[in-house]
Amino acid sequence: MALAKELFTRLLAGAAVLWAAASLAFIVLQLLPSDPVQVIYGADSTVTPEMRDRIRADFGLDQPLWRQYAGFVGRTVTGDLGTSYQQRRTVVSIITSELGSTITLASLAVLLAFSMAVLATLATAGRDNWLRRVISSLELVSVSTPAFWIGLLLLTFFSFQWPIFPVVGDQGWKSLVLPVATLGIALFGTLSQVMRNEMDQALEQPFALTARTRGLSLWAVRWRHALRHALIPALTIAAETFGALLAGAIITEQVFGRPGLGRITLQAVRNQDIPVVLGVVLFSAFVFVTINIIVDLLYRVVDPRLRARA
Amino acid sequence: MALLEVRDLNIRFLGRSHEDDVQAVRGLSFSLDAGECVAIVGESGSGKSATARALVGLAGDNALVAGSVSLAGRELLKLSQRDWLGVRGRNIGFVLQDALVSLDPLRKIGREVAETIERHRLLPRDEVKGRVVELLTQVGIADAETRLGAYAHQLSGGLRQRALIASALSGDPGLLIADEPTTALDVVVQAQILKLLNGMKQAGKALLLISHDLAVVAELADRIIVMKDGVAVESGTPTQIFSNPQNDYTRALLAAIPSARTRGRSLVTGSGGGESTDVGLVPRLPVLEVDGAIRTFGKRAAVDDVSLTVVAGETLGIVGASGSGKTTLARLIMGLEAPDSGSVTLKGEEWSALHERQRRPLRHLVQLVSQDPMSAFDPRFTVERILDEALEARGFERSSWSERRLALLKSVGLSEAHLSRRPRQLSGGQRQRVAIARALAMEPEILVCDEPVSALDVSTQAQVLDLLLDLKRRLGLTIVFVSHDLGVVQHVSDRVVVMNEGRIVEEGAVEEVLASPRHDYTRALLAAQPRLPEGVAG
Repeated sequence: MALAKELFTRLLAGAAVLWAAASLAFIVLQLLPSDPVQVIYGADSTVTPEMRDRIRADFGLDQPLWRQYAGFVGRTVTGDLGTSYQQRRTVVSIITSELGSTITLASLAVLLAFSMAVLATLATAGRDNWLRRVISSLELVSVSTPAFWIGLLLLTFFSFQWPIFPVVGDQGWKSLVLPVATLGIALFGTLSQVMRNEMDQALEQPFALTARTRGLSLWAVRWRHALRHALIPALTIAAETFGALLAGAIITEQVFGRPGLGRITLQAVRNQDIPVVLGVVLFSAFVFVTINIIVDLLYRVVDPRLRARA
Repeated sequence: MALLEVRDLNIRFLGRSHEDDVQAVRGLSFSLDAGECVAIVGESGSGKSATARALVGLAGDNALVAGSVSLAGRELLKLSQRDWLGVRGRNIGFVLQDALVSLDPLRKIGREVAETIERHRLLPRDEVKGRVVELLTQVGIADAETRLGAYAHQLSGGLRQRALIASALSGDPGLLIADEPTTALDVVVQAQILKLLNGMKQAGKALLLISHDLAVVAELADRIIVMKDGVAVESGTPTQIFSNPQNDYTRALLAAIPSARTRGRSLVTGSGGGESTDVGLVPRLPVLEVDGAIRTFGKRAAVDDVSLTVVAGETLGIVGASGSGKTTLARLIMGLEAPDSGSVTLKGEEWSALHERQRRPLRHLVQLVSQDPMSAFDPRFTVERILDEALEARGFERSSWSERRLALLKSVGLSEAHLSRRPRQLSGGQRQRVAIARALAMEPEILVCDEPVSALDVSTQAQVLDLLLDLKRRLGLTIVFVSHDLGVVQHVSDRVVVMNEGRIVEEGAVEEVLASPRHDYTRALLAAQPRLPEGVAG
């Protein structure tokens, strides 16, 4: 019951965030000094006044501003994000056609980073030895190196030096390996640092000592007790990164020439294709709101102390 | 040969260099047999916990343990890491203090208790649950079946501690080591846990009890070892230790236990504190009045129709078990909580009814000293900054700060050298002194002390109590002293109110109330109080 009520408020708050994102995006675009008609027809072509009026009427641009806004919000609610100025396809179909590729990339990258971080944490938490120093240094490299640079290095070695993986494009699983590795390595450092810090703290707690007095090995205490404590902050970071990747793995997609949301966003901004930009803004707001709600629910699964408070 | 034989145990914690090494335990020897209880008593840093941990091979990676520990004829200190795993839980059970953090907060009680059984594969999988229920019932948890799925934070302090003991018993070890098993508990629950441990002893377990409080172990121990700075300074039967202590430190430890007989005396030096000289200057007027105050949380009334008067210059003790509403009452007095009905007046003026903005200029009059100063300070602040913050809030000229800081530190027995320390670099007693100095910086008339010494060991507690009483005499402070410990309340208070389930059940001069309690609850509290045997040399 408490959970249902909590969920309801969270959904309501989520809707408010989406509405705010939509309104803000609408206002910003009104302030841009570009002429939609020029965008639709291309900068070079000359447009007669009659054609201009017709286009304006087609896209609803002749309406007063509040009407445009109301129409925009109304259509958005029904899931209609409008039509691209450039591609003459609905924004929804543009996003969904590119979405699968991005989701695959983001999910695999987060999964890779998470697995590496869990292994690194289990191997090094609560210890002070050479392995910990090596892994800590690797994390530092991961955190401080920009993703595109990691991508370029991987390409240099695994596509050009030893042509194991394709350089660009979308050719099945082989072309996924390097982009996933790029993003996974970039995320791994932060995730692993946070998890180990948390696990170090958990291992200092009296319950870890209690577990050891039951005859558990240090490894078993990490695996059976401390790991769950380390999951709490890791969940936050992984979820936020997943959201950020969905909406904007722009650079990585660009480096590896992959299709995806990043690419269409870049195109849309460059071409001032306003409906697509708005669509992407709304889509990423939607993704973040959804992920936040899911993560909040997951916290309760991991940490029973949070269930009581709701 | 006894079950446990400890011979010439030495524990050395290795520091970065040779000079940083700490010799935690030096030449400790004792033996313990089945059905017996040996208690090791000492203040923090005496080496008692290091000893307990060394006996399960968990003194730490930087600990050098030498000597001999044999359990049922087997030398433990020569065991390999792998062999140790087979001993822990199976041959030796270990109970720590405060089950809220000593049980994994993310795992269900049932799984925690089952862990030893599963680890050592003592039972087939389908019989584990039945055994866990049996164990929980054995330690006095009613309807154990329904508690299996509970988490530590969902249980009361007493039930939690029982579950922790059940988890230590689950491998059916011959030796049980309990390191401060009752320290986080109130007197009533403490008495229950001690009774439970006594039952274990009767059932034939060898029990090694570690405590800072001689009174706690008095009834349970067959032999007591008093440790100081890593050395056993005295050992003997409780009768020997209590009636004829040979060592000065043992005598000091005994004298430090506050009770009715220590009233008006220093707990550290044993000398009389002298009658209050300033009493004549403080008009004996009501300085704070609580009238019919009710404060409910949800459906439960934490404070239920409470009325009391605090007279200027007195110490009013508020005593009760956990959950009796004493902390909520203290918060009402502090003006941190508003009563749902009823009122609190300060020096005859509205207090609880004030708007926070009107109350703020008066806040300095009532200051708080809380149980755990570690969490009451910003860990990044130095002592200097902690005091400056108070001095600034009180509105003192910046030019007077350095002088005032030193005067404050001096009045609580600290020095200029402590100014640059951070809370973590201070001992528990020093932290509480800083907390008192910070409160004094505000020039309060009333000091609300909420369990100010319950996180301290007996010797440190004695120093802090002495300090509070000294300050009261010198500054004419009025003190509201909240505690679950009757001995402490008896020592410091002039008058006492006893709280139970949000209500005041008894009230009066401390000698009368505790000498001839009228209410059942007061009697129960008194009965639960750990007592030194008669004829204690003090």
